[in-house]
Amino acid sequence: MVALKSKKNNRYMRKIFEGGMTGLLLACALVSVLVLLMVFMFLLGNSLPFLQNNDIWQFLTGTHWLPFGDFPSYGILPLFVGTLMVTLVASLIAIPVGLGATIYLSEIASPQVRNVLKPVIEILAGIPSVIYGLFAALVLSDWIMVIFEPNTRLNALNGALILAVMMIPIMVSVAEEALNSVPRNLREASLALGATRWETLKMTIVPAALPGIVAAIILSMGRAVGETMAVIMATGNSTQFTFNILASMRPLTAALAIDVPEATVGSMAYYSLFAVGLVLFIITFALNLVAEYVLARFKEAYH
Amino acid sequence: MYIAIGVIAIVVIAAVGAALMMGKGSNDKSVKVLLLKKTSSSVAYSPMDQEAVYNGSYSLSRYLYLYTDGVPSTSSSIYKWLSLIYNTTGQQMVTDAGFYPLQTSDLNAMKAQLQNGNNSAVTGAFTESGSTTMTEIAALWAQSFKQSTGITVTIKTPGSGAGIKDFYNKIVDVAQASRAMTTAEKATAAANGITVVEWKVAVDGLAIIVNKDNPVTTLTLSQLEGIFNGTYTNWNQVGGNDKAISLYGRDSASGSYASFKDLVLVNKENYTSAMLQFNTNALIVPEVESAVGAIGYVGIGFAKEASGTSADTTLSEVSSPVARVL
Repeated sequence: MVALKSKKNNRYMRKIFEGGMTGLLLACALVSVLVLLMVFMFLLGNSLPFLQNNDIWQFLTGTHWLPFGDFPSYGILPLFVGTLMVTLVASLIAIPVGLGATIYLSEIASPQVRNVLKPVIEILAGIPSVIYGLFAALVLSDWIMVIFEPNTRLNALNGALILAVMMIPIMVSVAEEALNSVPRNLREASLALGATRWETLKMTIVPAALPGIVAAIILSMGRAVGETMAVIMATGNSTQFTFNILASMRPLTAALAIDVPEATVGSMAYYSLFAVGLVLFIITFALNLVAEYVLARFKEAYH
Repeated sequence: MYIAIGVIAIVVIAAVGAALMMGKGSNDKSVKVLLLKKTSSSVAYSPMDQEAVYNGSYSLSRYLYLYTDGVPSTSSSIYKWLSLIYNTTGQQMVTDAGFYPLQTSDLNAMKAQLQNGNNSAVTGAFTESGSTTMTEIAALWAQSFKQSTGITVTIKTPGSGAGIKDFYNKIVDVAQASRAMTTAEKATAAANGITVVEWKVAVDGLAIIVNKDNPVTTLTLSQLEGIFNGTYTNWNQVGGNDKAISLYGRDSASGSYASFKDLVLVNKENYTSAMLQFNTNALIVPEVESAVGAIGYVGIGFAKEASGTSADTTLSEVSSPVARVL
């Protein structure tokens, strides 16, 4: 009787314990959601004074970014184009190189080569962005000067090139995982049907891993959009509105980093910088949503 | 094992690359300091000409400042700090850092201002924040100060605007600035209960530097204004070669950004958006060295260093104090 009671008690205790643990883990998971919400509210709350007192259309399409001075002008189009141009060109370089490296590493390279190359690429991902920035400002800019002869050594192309270098390790590590997780039987079935190694790669493995590859591309683009230190050092930070990749530009992140120290707390310039932050947040958020959408669609197609 | 091979490979490649770059670094680069004149018919002056900077003949002269909360009493660390700055050693260091010492009249006025202070709040170590142009000069003072009094001054240099902000938010005890505090900043400080006291500590001439291969040696103030507001975009519009002008300036947190704007863009216009912006003087110099169409502005100390390290021709060209245009 006593034993039975203690057993019942035990079960009861275990239930409480399990419930408690579940709740604790749920709380851990919710922390990230909560932080996201708080960041969004913080940005929105501080940009509201700006958005209420200024024409939002003017803010998005204005071509002069001059938050300080007697006649301030808050047009973020030059900054937006700066981010766009730098990210786009960086992606154009990084995507083929990154995917080529991934396919070589996971499908073609011998284990020995792979064991040397993989850690090297991983080290590349761990280098602080300020080091990349330094390299771009002092070395890469000289090479660009010799090859393209731009007016200024520091320009958007310089930033794009260094961002491409920074994007590649992220792309390789995520995309390689996707290629590796393609089921072995798909590969073997393809080879058994008489397909060559190249045909198997092209028609079976890459399509099957496509969602992972797309996610890899978008994640690395998110890295490029959000990168600050390297682009500040590489692009020269002029606020001109131009699509010329050999001209100096100031991406959104650089504008935040440069102008925040000067903005008096509570001034319109201060709130305008939060609005810029909000735009940046929305861009990265949208990028992630697109990645999720693509992943979901391709997953449906393959299962 | 394999990781070791990878690491060794990287080190070898890096070493070869570094060796190649060392060779490249020996290239003799330098910049040229332009002479400025007020109108096309007046005399041109160099910022290297101390007298011209003092009496305003050179148009881009300015004071460097410290700001404190009230006048410090003799027991305060800040009193000792200012005493060091205003004695012979302190003013000699101003020269060592490449700036000009205060004129006797200013120096006496500042010494008089330092008498009968009553704020004894700061004893022991204290903090200072502000101008990047003043980095070297402040470091020289701080080193000597530490030796003579044993007191540590912690100095950060986020730019004059940011330093003044730190000062009126009571994050630091002293602000260092390459421009005067604005009325708005003074009002905010007063609202925060700070009695702003201004200390002139040195004189600077903002130097206009161009690439040494640029044939232009002199500009008028209005030409300079036209270049920095974007009216002129090619050197042939101001008497130079057919070469696009590329502009190098400081970013918004910098005192030089603000003081150059006040002194040159006299019609309250903004800098042209084509101007590249940097957070230190030191970053501007190598850009101007390497781009033929470049023009930039830096504190006189940086211009002396950048133009003086090079061949004699450049040096003699810039040190000729006055150029008379007939």
